[in-house]
This record gives sequence, C-alpha cells and structure tokens, in this order.
Amino acid sequence: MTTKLVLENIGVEFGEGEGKTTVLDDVNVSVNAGEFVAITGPSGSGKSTLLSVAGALLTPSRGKLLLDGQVLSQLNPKESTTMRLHQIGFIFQSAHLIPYLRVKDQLLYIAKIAKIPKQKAKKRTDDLLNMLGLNHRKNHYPVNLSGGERQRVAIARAWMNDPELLLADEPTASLDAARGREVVETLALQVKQQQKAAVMVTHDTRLFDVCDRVITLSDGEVTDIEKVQLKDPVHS
Amino acid sequence: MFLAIRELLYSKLRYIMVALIIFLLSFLVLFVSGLAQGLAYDNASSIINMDETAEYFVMDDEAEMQLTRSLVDDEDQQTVHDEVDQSEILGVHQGTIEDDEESQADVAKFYLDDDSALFPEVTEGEKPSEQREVLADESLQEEGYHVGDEFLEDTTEEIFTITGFTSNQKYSHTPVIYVTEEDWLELSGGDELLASALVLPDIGEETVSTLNSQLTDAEVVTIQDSLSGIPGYSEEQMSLWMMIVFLFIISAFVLAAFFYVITIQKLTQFGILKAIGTKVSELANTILVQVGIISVVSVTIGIGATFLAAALLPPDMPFMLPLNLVATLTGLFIVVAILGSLLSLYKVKKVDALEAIGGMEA
Repeated sequence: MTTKLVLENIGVEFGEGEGKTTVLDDVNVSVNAGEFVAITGPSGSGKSTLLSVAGALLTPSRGKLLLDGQVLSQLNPKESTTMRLHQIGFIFQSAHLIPYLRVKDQLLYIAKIAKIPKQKAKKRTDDLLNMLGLNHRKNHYPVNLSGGERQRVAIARAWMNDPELLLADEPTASLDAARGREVVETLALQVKQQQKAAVMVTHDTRLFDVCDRVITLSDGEVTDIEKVQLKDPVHS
Repeated sequence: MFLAIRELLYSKLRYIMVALIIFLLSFLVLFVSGLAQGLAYDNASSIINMDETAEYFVMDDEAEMQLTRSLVDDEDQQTVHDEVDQSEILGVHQGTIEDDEESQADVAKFYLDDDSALFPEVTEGEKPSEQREVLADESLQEEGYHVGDEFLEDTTEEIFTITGFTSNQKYSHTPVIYVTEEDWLELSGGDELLASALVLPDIGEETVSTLNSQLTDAEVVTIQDSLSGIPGYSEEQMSLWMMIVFLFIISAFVLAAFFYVITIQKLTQFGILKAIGTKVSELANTILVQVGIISVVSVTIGIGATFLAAALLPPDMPFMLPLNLVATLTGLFIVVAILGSLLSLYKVKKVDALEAIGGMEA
C-alpha cells in the first residue's frame, strides 16, 4: 500500500518567550492511499492545527510534511498555493462558499484556476452534483441553499480538482445526523474507489465506524490510534 | 474575469453606488474643465488662435507680458529682423466704440498685416480694404452690430465701418476689431507702425536665446506664457484648475476608501479563495478588472452627461471641451481609480488564508 500523507515529528508553537504555547508536540501520522482517517480529541487539543499543517495552510515550527513523496513543509507561500490547488481538497467547518457564485460556478471556478479543460470540467461538475444530489440546485446562489446543501456543495468543490488528499474540518457540524452520515459515507466511498487519502476532524463518535482509523489527540500529542472494523459504507 | 464579472452582477447595488460616485465626480471634473477651457477661450481666443500658427512673441521686457503695455522699439525690431526671416507686427490697443445711439462697447483694436497667415478668416462680409474699415469679432453682433454698420472710435474720434465678421477673436473678454494699416498708423500717432509685439514662428531654443541676449529692451516669450499677462486670465484659470486638481485628489481618496471598505468586508472570501488555491495575482487581477470596468463605464456616462449638459447651456455661456482634453482627463481618472484600489490590493496580498477562515484554529 502506498503512503500518501506523512507527518513526521510535527511541532507547532505559537508566540515567543513566556507566552509560548505548544499546540502540537512531536506528532507522527501517516495516511495510506484509500484510507479514511478520523482525528478526534477534546477542544484545544490541536486537531484543526494538525489539519492546517497537513493542508499546507500552516507551516509547522518543526518536523516534516510529505504528500505523495514530496516534501511540503519547505514550500514558499506561492508553491503551497499551487500545491493546495492541485493536490489538496478542503472542506471547512462552515461551508465557506463564495457568495456570488452559483453552485455550478463554485465548481467550475476550481476547474478554471486548475486549468482543467472546459468539457471535462462541465462533465465533472455534473457528475459531482449528481452524486451529491444537488442537480436541482445547480443555478442557485449559496444564500438560497440549506445548511446541508451548502456543505455538500463544499464537498463537491473539494473533489473538483481530483485531489490526492482530502481534508475535512468537522464537515458534519452543520448537518443533521442522517445527512451527516450520508455525506461522510459518500466521502469514504470516493476515497476507497479512487485510492485517495482523507483526514477528517470530528467530534461525532457515531461516524467512527465509517473511518478506517481514529486518531485521538490530547494536548498536542497522539494518545490513541484505533483501527476500526471497516464496514461497506454503501450498505450501512 | 470569471470572479470579477460574476461578483459585479451579484452585488449590483453596491457597485452601482460606487459607479454613481465615480460618475458624479467625473462629470464635475469634466464640466469644470470645460468651463475653464471655455473661459480661457472667451478671454483670449485671439491669442490662443495665434499659437496655432506661431510660437513666440517678442515683447517689451518691462510690460510683464501685457500686450497693451508693451512696445518693441526700432532697435529691437531690427535685431529680430536680422536674426529671423519671418516676423509679423502685432498691434494691440484697448478702447471703446460707440454706435449712433451712443451706447458703448469695449473692444480691443488689433493690427496684423492682412496678408499674413495670422490674419483671421472672414466668416461673414468682406476683408476691410480701405481706411476706416474694420473686421470685427462676431461677438460684437450681440451688441447689435451688423455688416455695414458704423461706429465712433474713441481715440481717433472718427467713424469706422464694419465690413466683415470673424469668429473666435477675443482679448480680455472683449471682441477684437482688426484695423487697417493706415488706421493703425494713425492710432500709433506717428509715421511708423508701433509694434506691441513681434510674432515669430517656432524658431528653436537656440535662436531664442541668441535673440534674448541681443535684445536690449525686449524679450522672447512663448505665446502660451504670454496668456498669463492678459488681465484676469491667470486668476480665472488658476482658481478653476485648482478646483479640478482638488477634485482629482478627492476622487482618489473617496475611491480608495470605498474599495478598501469593500475589500475589508470580503477578506474572508479572499481567504477562502486563497485556501482553495487561488493565486494572489489572480485576486489582484479580479479587483483591477472590477475597478477598470466600473470606472470606464461611469466615466463614459460622465462624458455623455457632460456633453449633454453642454448642449443645454445657454449659447453665451463660455464652455469648451476639446476631445483631447476629455481623453486626458478620462485617462487620469481611470489612473486615479486604479491608484485608489492599490491599498485594497495590498490588503488582499496580506490576507492569511488560515486567519480568514477562522474555523481552522485549534
């Protein structure tokens, strides 16, 4: 099995001198292709920070980050922007859609900046919207969508550039349990089918069975890694 | 373009308000410029038109560029003749004329050789051919004068006849009347033509400095500079152009503030866009395209409105807006708008994707 994402001895500190806080301390995580990993832990344990580091949004104070064998921790801002565009898909806590773009344009915009040919982009947009049950919302603005629909658009957007790594920060926070589960199962299925890697931060213990592994963070350290008995997400 | 146009269409009200402000400012700038230009022309069109064919005046160096006070003596005239082939005597004298009902009008009496290229074109009637005949500016028609009418001239106290009219010949806001050589001789009160100035073509910097060193009581000035010597000219122009300059400065600040506030409101969006992989250059491009579209559209409407307003002005209102001035002001306005958005560009460059999203913190 190929290893997609490797976090090696990652340390993150904020501030200097007396006010220095260590958010992450010597964290080692690796995610294989086709693996869907959940990160959980109490508030302030560094879950989101870890996700930001994995997503090249935050440069760690120490340690090394590898994606598909490429070292990411030493990239300059411009290079990490390009990396995010082509290799990483983000799903934020709240959907964070662009208010003035229609649903289909939210996706087409990614295709545009990633320079995906038009025809291919259109097809992929249709496929993704279909898959997430958003076809009838294609020409709506985010303001006219429900919270769940917005989050599903955000997920479609994250998949749009066909990323190697998908990072989700509490993607189900704004969804009801049934819808949340459905969304996460869709994510898990995609990860399996296309041999991608996904990391999801979540508090929702009911979702753990969909994931391959659950990593528990506490005070910036990995305290527990738990293998989950994989169920077939389609029939659960 | 993708983002820029979609956002303009989505947030119509917001951008229509910005466009409205740019429209109003550009309208004001263009209108005041038209007024400044119109007043300049109404004041000194006779001299401004000379600038088309000629370049320099030789004037009395103690006249402070006032043609009515200037007298170029024989010695200096000879110096000019020795150095330059082409020179024309210009005579200027201010006075009044009186019609048969004893109503007076201020005029400027000009003398120029009627064979020279500087002599204005006749638009109505004929060129004066005999003594006591004059060619007058058509603005004198507003005083009730027609071709063939007679008037009493105040210096010679003789009766003169208007044989024809010309257009755009004003000096110090009064109509110019062109007198014949014989009459100018008489007005000069002697046996030789007095020269208020010698009009020279573009003779080049070098010849100008040679002349300046040789002339004893005179100097060579550009016709453009000599305009400031016309009574009232620089005062009018200075105050109007000061208004225009301030309008530009105000525009720059108003637009900068507007775009800045809009950008601040959108910081989270810029953060998201950065997080999902948009380059800073693309975001900058989006802002510049938006500013460009808004300013071009509103300045264009401003130009249209200005010309419409100009068409509705009463005809005796001095207003003139040449196209090259419009082009310059428009260009300047768009540059000001773009300068105004620079602060926003800087802010966008500094947005931290992580901070803007907020939710990613531990």
